[in-house]
Amino acid sequence: MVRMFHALLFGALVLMASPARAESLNIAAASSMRFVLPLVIEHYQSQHPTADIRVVYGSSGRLYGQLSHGAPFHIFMSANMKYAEQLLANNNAVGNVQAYADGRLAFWWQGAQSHVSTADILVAILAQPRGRIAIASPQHAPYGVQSLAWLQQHEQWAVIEPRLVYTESVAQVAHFVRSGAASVGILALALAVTDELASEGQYLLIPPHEYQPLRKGMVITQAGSKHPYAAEFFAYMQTPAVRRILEQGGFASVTGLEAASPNQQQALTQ
Amino acid sequence: MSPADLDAIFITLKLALISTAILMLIAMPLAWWLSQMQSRWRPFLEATVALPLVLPPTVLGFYMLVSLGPQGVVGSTLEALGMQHLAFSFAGLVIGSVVYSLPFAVQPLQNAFSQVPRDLLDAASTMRAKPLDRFFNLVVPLTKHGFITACVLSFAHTIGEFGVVLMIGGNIPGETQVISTAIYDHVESLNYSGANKLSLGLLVFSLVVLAMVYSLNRGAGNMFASQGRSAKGQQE
Repeated sequence: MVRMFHALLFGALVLMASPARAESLNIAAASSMRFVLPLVIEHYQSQHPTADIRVVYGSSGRLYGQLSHGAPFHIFMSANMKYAEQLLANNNAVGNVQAYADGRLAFWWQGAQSHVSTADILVAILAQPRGRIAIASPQHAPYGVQSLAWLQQHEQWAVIEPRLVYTESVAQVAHFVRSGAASVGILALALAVTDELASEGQYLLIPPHEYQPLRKGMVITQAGSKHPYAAEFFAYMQTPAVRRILEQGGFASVTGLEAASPNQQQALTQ
Repeated sequence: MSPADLDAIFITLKLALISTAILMLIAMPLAWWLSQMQSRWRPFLEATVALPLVLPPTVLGFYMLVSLGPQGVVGSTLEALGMQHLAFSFAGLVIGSVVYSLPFAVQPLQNAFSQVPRDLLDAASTMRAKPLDRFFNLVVPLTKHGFITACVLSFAHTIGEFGVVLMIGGNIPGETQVISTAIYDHVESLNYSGANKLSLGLLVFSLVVLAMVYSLNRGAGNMFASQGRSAKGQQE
């Protein structure tokens, strides 16, 4: 018995003493980047084979919360400008917030059934007695904020509201719909166009002029200011090659909007 | 299985082993003290130890994040001393797991200790056995089953925890990502086969562990209250 206990203690001590690995570049990225960012990183690593990059995905609000409690991430890629700007305002980040893409909202549902318009989808859902619409939680997911705002403009909002289910992040919307728990979901176009989702269901883009653009901002954190690869990867995210990858992945490029007037800029960052 | 999954498995096992070792060191004196205590404060202390059983892990995780982080009492003290704060680190995960699994270590031990016959201890002291001598040479052998149950349950419970590790660990691959948070990540990226592999592994593991605990305590209905049999058996 005592010997067994000694063995347990010894094992624990050996494990505690095991050396830490060389520091990798840690990125905290919005869930909507889940399928595109690995492509970008693959591309980057083909030019920088020694760079070890790890990404943690989550809703931007949750990541922001973790970052403001000292999470060891070097770059924060938010799904909106607000969280990145707040991080900078709280002195947890350095330099500037850089816009890197605009997000798009899309309806996504399972099966072969086709819909021609968003109104068509809502009518179909409301006709089902237990039809549910999944959206990301507006409390901490920027896509959720815009999904909710878009639905609220609808004249049938009063009957739509009780049909809503909220998910932890925008990527989980796909999980809710795929598992059949919700009949339809509003998620990022960048998720809907991926092979994983395209093979399971169909999407319909919500016309971009019907909601405020989901301008996405990224920033280098305090910890990142000391990391050898952080500034370089940050600059790499703004190259034409990456913009192309992001566009193919379902994001709109920000180039056309950079010349927007200050007023518009403010409206965009909500 | 991907390298990140293997990392998660290794980190989970490492976390469970270290947490179990620390838990046993804490739980042994704590459980003995509680089992011998006559004070009217005892129910209050027992309730405090049992708190992680009923508190939502997110509540526990939230408080731990706030206190271990750079703005918290513990985290800021460590930083003032020139050390790192503990949020999103492996050390932080260990602290979280120890708190979270404390009742799973203390309760089986306390039950076992409280069933050690008083007269055996008295007889030992008439033979001039000192308290520590009595504890290690009389109580520990009599309550072996309690120790095994406590170890196995703390280990298994740490492997299965989710809410606390997600909150204070941040789910960083290769650092604080454990099996349960890796499954969550797989589900979110719709990698159902990846989620399935890890989930099935956890399911089989948990079943084996519980079957082990029950077979060690055969004949008794409740795994938390079954250690008396061994004490009585050796007494005869």
